Amino acid sequence: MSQTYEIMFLIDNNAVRAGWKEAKGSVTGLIEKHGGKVLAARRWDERRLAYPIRHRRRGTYLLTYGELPGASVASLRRELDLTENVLRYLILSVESVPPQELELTRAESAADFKVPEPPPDDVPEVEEDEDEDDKAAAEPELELAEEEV
Amino acid sequence: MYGERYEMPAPERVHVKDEDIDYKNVELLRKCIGGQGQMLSRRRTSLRAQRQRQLKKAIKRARHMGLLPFVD
Repeated sequence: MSQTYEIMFLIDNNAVRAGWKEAKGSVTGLIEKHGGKVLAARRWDERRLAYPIRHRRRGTYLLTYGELPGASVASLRRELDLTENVLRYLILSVESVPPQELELTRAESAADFKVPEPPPDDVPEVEEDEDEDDKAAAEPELELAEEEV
Repeated sequence: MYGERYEMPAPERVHVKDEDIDYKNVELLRKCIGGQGQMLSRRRTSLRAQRQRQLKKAIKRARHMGLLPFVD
């Protein structure tokens, strides 16, 4: 018995930079490997995470819909836990695939579809400290300038 | 003074009644969490019990995916 699932993945931006098609293919390949059929798969969003996950501050979300035998969900979960590029996943059973998702998948598989390069993660805190030092150094100069006037 | 009835001022409400509650609807869920990331009570969301349960689930799913903070 197959059931329709909505599976959302949070993918490491480093893998996305190496190539969106490859990153997407490796994840959808896992679903197929466990006896599933991918009906729709598209880039949902690239955004800043609410909290750091494995030291990453940003990530790309992949939203997929597919059919999967219920018995293989557990083995898929186990494999996803071991997959380094997948930071988080969420598997939900749904009634059917929303029709607009199929359209968006088709739009994404078109040849001229380009995935924007993910922006770099935030500047590490060490460099922010340096900025503060710069400010501290700049302030005395201002004071001197005022005295001259 | 003592013995007088003190009424707490009603908390500010958020208006989310007719919208689609789903973990992907992050903009909506953001309205339903407080300043520190806590879920708002039914008194503040003015949802009926069933919808509040859906909201609870959606917020928890969004938190798991890194879309919403556990603590802000």
